[in-house]
Amino acid sequence: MTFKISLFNKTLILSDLKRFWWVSALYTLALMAYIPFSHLMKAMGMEVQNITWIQDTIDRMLSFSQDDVQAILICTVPVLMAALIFRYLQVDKSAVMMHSLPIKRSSHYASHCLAGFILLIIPAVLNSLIMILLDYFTVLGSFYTLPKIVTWLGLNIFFCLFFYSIAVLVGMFTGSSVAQIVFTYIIQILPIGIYVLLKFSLEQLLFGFGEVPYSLFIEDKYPLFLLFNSAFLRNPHMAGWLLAYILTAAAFLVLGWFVYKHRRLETAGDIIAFPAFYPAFKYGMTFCLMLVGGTYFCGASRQSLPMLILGYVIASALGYFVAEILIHKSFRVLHLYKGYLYYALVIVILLGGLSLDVSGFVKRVPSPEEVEKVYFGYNYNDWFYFEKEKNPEFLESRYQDSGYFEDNPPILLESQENIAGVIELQKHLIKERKREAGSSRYIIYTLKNGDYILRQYNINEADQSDAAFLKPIYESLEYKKLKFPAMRLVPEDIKLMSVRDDRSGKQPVNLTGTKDIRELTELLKNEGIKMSYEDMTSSRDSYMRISVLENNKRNEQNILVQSSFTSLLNWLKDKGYYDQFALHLEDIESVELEKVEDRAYSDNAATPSRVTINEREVIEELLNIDPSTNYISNDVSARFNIRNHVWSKRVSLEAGVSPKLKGYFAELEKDN
Amino acid sequence: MIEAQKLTKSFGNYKVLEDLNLKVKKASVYGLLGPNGAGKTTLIKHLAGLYRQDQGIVTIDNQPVYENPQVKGQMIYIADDLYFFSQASIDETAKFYSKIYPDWNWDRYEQLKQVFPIDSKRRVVKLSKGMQKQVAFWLGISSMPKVMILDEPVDGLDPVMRKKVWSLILQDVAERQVSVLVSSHNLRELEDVCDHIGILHKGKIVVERELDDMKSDVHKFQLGFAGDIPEGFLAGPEVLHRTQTGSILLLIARGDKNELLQTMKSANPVILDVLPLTLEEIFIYELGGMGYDIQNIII
Repeated sequence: MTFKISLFNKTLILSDLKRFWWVSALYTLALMAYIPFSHLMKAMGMEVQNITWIQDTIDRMLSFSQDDVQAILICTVPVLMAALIFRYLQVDKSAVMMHSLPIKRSSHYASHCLAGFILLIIPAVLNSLIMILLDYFTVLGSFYTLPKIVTWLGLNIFFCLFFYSIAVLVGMFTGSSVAQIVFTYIIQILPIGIYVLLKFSLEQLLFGFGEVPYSLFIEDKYPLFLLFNSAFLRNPHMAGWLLAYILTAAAFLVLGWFVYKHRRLETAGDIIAFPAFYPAFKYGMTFCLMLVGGTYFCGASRQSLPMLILGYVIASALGYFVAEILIHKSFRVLHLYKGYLYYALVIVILLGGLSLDVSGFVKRVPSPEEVEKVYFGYNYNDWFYFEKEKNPEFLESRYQDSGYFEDNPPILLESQENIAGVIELQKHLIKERKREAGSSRYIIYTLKNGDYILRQYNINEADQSDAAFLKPIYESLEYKKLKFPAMRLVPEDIKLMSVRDDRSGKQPVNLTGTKDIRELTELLKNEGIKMSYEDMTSSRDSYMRISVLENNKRNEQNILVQSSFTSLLNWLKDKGYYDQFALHLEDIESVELEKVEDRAYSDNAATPSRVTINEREVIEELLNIDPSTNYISNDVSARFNIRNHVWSKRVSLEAGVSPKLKGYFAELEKDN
Repeated sequence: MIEAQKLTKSFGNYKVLEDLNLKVKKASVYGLLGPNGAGKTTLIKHLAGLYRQDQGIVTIDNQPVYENPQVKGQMIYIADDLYFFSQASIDETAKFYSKIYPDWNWDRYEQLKQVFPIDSKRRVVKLSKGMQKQVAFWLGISSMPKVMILDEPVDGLDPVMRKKVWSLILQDVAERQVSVLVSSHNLRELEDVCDHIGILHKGKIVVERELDDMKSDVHKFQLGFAGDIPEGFLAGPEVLHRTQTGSILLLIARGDKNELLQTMKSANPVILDVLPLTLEEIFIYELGGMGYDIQNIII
């Protein structure tokens, strides 16, 4: 009696198709309703002005670059399919029945895998055929093209294969369908999830801790994130990535086959099918939940360290015992506390080591000779893609701005003085160890040996002690050149410069003459060079700006004109441009003061208390007063009536003002 | 035909089978007896090639069973807890089996419709537990196996159906030299059909006997004496059990029947009867002698 042995068993495949065709049918209908038919309906009821919008919607849907129902379908249906197809393995009596049949395990695996995959592909293929028909015979012909339909089919099959392969592999490791579904998603967000949580904890525990410069932790490398971040076709390296994903999916399926062969039938119903993985599951869950608990408690309590520890203790204990409950399928797990104590011991040693800075992380400051350059900016991604990955196009394509790095060069300082300055600043920050005020800034050294040192600190420009260290860096030409677009202007590339004052309501002055452009750029550069630290960090609003349109660029650049730019302002005045655009005191007819809170909080106040000022000197004072930046205090809104234009700013009642203005303020209060 | 050597299996830290040896001859029916939790189902799942043993060898016809479609194609396993595809009718299930089992016999399937009075168009999962068992036998017998492994096979069948099923199986044993291994905790069930009995206790086969041997080896006597029961005449034979009620003595002894009778007669009893011995009694007394807790073993 010969027995034909082939990897794919036709009977099994047919039986699977027969048993689970309904999933495929429902999926087909869902896709049909959501894609071709909704497109058809949109296209048939269209109005002429909506054509581009419809075209855009359809294109984005067909290229999977919009997060929507389709994304949810594509990441759930394959997982459900894998769970259904391999359900027989997770239930004892069906596992026994199926494996008592004269079929090898490899044949079981290959046949069921294939059957599931066929069931997943059919809906996509059917819908593609429908789309092709609609393309030929209906109005959709003007929106669809064959390449778009084929791309959609390809991407659909790709995502199905990818999510399916993960779910299948996970299913081989677990003995429960619910766990299979849950783990399939957990495993896909695990790298990013652990990274985010670990980062949060380390930021609390290690002063100066920033990001970790490894591309492993880029969300967009994981298809689930890719799908929902809608970053799909914007990635310029997508073809390579797709290939890598397909190979990964194939590797998952092969690995799943290997695992199936070694899987023991009696593990049906267990949470983890291989007892060897119990410790990994148990302590992995304990660790992850510990991080979640710490982040939750610490975040909810405004970053208090004791709450972080409390969160760790509560959540890790929870994680440990829940894992034990799942493994033993019993609530009587308290006697297994010893494992938790070992874990706690390890964590205590680790945390102790961190807080004592055993690794020297917190105090690590390179010597100036070691450093090649240093990034001193706010944006980690800028540094990462520009300096570490050397792949700026990726970020630009994500921002959909091909000139992003040209317009915003990352602040990478290379001069000896600035490197030394940043090092001194860092030493100062480590000594002070302030956490509260200021904005968070990265200091990332690129060392000559190719390593990186990455730190993140809160730096307060207004703080005197910080400012002393910041001043030399800020005032260096190197820093200014990177920081200010005005310093990088090339007169020959400039098509148009327009000078405007947002307050005046006047038309901007457009400069197109080569001479004007040349002189103005030169003046801007000189002003930049002269700019002091105080001017650079001043919170005064600048209302005048110069918009620069360059020859080969889409976007115009805006350059603020500060009141300290005296020679530039004089040039504008000399040329007679100033009067044409700027706000003059004479232009202001009157100023109305109004309590801000009146408008915001009391609905009943029919007419908010208002004071009108016509005195020239008070108007001048109001014009020059620093605007309020504190939005909590009781502010006054000053409305400047300027011919046929109104401009307003907020002024704090607490500001030091002249007795006259004070009188007006008092009047305002009284009316109230 | 079916053979297990030094079979050992643990679930976690719990050793279910330990150094177990078992042999089922061709064209015979082997009854596997044991209390709940003795490891019967575990042993059977090894013999059916479902579990992989930690140690030892499991073979059918000298070929390993695990992951061996050739062997499994000649074997059917009817589990205690049956599983059928939820949507399939009996006919559809039969079609599935017919493509999976190389020796499937449609004629037989049709003939068996007379034995199993169930509409073959009905969905299997909708049938009662006993009817599902019948379907399992129906399909199993139709696939013309050389080996049948049956776990608690007649549980849930009514007495008439039990008889029918056993007669079908025994017919196959006689005509097609089928080897059968059947587990049960019900001795009476096995008594009528088995020619070998093995008792599984705590993961080991503690007794393995040919039934005829056993029956010819152990005997039950009733002796009545006119006066006091004489002492000493039982010194020779191996007495497994002895009860005394007044001057009536009930004995269960091992040995040749005629020799034992001679010994009895030498004590001049007024009455001397040879009583029929059930399999159950044999086991109770055999095992009692071995120091096992009887109550635990035979239910």
